[in-house]
Amino acid sequence: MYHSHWILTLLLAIPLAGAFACLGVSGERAGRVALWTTVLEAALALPLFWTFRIGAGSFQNTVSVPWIGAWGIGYRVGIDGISLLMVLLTVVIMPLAVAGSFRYIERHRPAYYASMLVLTTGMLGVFVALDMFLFYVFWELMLVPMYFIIGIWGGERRLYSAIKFFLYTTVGSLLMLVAIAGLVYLHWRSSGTVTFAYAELLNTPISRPVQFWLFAAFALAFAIKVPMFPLHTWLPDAHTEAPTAGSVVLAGILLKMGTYGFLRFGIPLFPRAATSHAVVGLFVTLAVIGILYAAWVAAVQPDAKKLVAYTSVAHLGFVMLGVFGFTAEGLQGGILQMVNHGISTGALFLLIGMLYERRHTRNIADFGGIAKVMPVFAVCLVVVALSSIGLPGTNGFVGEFLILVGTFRTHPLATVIAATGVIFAACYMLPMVQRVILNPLDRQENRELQDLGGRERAILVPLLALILLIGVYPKPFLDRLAPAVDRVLQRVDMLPSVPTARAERALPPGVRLGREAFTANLSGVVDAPPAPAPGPERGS
Amino acid sequence: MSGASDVAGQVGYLRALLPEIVLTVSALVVLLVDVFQRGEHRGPSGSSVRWLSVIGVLLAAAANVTLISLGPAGPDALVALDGFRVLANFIILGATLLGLLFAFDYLKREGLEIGEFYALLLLASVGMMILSGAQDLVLIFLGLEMMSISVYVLTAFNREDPRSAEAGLKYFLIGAFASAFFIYGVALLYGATGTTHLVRMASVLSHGHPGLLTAGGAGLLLIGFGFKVSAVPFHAWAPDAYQGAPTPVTGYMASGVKAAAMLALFRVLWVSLGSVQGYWHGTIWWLAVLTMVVPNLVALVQDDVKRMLAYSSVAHAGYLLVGVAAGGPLGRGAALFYLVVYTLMTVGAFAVVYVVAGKGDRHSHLADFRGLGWRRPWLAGALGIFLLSLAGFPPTGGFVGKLYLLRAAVGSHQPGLAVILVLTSLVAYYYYLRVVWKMYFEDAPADVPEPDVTGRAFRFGAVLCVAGILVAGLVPGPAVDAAGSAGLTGASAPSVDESVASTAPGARQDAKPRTHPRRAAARAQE
Repeated sequence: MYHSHWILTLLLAIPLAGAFACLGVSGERAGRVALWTTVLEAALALPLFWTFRIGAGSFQNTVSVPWIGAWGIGYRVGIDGISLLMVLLTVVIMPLAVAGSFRYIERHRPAYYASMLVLTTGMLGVFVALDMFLFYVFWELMLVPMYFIIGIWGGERRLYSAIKFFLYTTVGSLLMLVAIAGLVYLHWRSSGTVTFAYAELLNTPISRPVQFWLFAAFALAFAIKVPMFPLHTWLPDAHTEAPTAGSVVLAGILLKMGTYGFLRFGIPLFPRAATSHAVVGLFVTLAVIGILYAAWVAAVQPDAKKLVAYTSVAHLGFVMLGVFGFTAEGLQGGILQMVNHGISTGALFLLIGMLYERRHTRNIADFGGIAKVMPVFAVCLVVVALSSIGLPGTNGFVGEFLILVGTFRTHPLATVIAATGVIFAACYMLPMVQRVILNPLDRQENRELQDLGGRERAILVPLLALILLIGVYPKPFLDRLAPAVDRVLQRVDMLPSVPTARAERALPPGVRLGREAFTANLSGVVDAPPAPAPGPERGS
Repeated sequence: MSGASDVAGQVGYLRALLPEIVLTVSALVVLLVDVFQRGEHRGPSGSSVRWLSVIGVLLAAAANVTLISLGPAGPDALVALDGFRVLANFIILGATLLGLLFAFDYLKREGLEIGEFYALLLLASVGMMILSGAQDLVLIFLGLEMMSISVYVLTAFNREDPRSAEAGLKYFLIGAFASAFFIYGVALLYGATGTTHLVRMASVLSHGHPGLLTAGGAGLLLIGFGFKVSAVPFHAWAPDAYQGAPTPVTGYMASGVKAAAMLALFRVLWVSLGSVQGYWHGTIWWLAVLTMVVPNLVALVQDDVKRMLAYSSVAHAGYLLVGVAAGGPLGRGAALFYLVVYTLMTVGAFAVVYVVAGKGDRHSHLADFRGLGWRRPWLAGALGIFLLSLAGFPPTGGFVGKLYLLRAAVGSHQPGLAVILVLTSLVAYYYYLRVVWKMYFEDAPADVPEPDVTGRAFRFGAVLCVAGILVAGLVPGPAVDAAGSAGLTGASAPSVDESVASTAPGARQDAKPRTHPRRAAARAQE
């Protein structure tokens, strides 16, 4: 079944069918329908992790069916390592997000769960689409349910946040649509066929100035979605006002579409523009600014949810740094960090949501000492917070470390500055943890808090397991990424602006750099090379 | 100007004009039946006139199908026989059918069930079909007047309501003004070229030296058309007329009138004036830009949904003008495809508005839509889909239509138009979404009046619109093929987009067996 190719189509269709089913039933049953749909989805999708052929350079599980013949538009889907991880991230997070909504959502339940399921289809579609038209359809499709989720079930300022989210994201995507039309036109002019197929558009010869314009349009769409500083201002509003599950999905999956877009479309389609000094310089600078700025702003947030929202900006800054460093380690770390951020930030939002359901406040100052009454909650919060900071032994460390190591070779100064962001991360996250779960338990309301129940523990366990698993044994994940990362690098290596070779020559003999060495080091499968290879101390 | 035609003899002429003839006859039948049925008393018309008019439209559509297989009319024919006309007829008949279906409930509610309404609607459609199919400026003018005069009356049809009367008067005065510009432009062009026939005018212009007279004529013609398609700065009448007219008529006006005038404009510009693009292309470019920018900005501050939709439909004229400015098969296909989708979503949206507005069209304020999504999920869902499509969101036809227009603009080397189009649609998102948020994000206070219960005809029409929009968004292939291969008799090779002749290999193959070889032969003889 997993080598017959329709598994991806099935994954796209099931949530849509579930959405209709949700609309057909009433009240709480809609939640159960949605939960079972997403669980089924996850059960169907997870085997992909093992059936995925490691090391194969091309897309897998591909389907290509003509759709709009005259325009060369087809239903083309397929996955490579990057898509695979994103798809799995999505199917793992969705059941948790749905289960996390059972208590929070009290009005219009069928519509809510239907929105969540349509959103699932939209997100999965973005990650598997290999046709520009199809990609754009999914890209826009998932905006509408998110708009509804924020607007109907959000907090007090939900109108403002919903419309801001919507307009911000569409500014970029509409210009991207023009760029897609331009790209198709250029391809038609050079080859004589009209097609929206990603694989064929990759071969479009585009002059350098035009590449810059088209890249700018794509980059704007993706940079808003990431979000990169200074286009991030929609994010704290949307996150804060969205219901818990909305924030989880927004941070856990939606933001990844931006970085995914760069990796899949922005960079490979326009390699000359993407690797030019000006563009790389701009993105690296903005990434570093984003890391530091978000960390500082997060440190002074009184609202726990807003604090976590700002950490997203910082984490995604790391991802962008890794991507635009254009080294194998940086890219792998960046992609892994996308997954890590989805897991740990999703877990953070879920934990804060659980607190909010009990106290109806997210103000950090309203808590204190609740470790005494909610010990399980406290343990979970500490683990997740440490993962978010990037403590060795958790997943966050692997990702950030790879990013820093990789990018140091091409942008040493920026990397050094960005590395301080890891320290600042501790500066905002640890005080928050301290003020919430430690400190004296001096409020009556807090003394009466119930610890996490069975459903809540069941939601958190998979996330905690993944945090530790990726933290100690990331090799399976990195293995699956390697060919996809190589392909991105091949696209940009058409220009010799990436000084990989030079950096390697400068190192003492016996030190292996490059992907193989690092995956080997991290997983400990191959003998570690002698000394200065910067392998992490595992499990510290 | 007797036409030496491929279609032999009188029977041939009749066959080539069958849809128009059928529709005219059914309009007359409706009038007669109504007179005999009502006799002396002045009560409402019976239901037979309704169904007679619907049957008339369906018969005309069937007659239109037979046009597909007819050979091309000769170059001298007064009315073209090409894919462009056939598709235009389908669009107009579709708008008429939807207008009728949505009018039933409305007329009953407002006590306006008078047979003349249906007859006028059908006659206006005949005018539209002549307007978009004619190849001679005089005939185009006749079609324009036939359409306009019927629509003036329809606009003022609810004469008890001062808003309707005011709208009708405004529309009439400005329309008459526009007709004068138009006919003056025709006169100047006749003076410059010695003919009013589009194809012959084209050959005169491409051989001779077009002078000031041509430029003046083209300019006046553009002004005339500008009024009819409600292009900025000739749009001032449109919001008032649209708001005051009985709502089903508004939908019909916004779709049918605009479609017919836009397609006639396309034909006139690219057939007769194709060789003198320098005279008008810049003007069209600016008309398109202004028509996209201004109404979208004004619509932002409209609190009345009907008026907001009126501005939105003016803005859509701007998007369509992008297709006109692009020209060529791609621009032609884009305009036709967009008009199909536009008709469905605009007529549908206005129809939902009149249901919500209640008797006398009193409650079309934004606040009246609060909580509609939870009170009337089907009605609100339909309006939501219409609005998403108007905004150009996948998976609706509005998105495919916008993409088509974008491709046409980019393909004719006018990326600027494409960028302005998307930026103005971004502005439009805001006011479309405002309605969505009223419907779903806010709860209805107790005193909001409950919308009407809809009749069967309305539901059928709404389902038709929604289904059409979704089909155009999800399986647009057949419609795209049809629009992309619709031939335009005498269209000169566009010089703006020399490179975008029939883009897709698929489309080219489709087009060939139907029209191309014979038309090419006809052109060669000429």
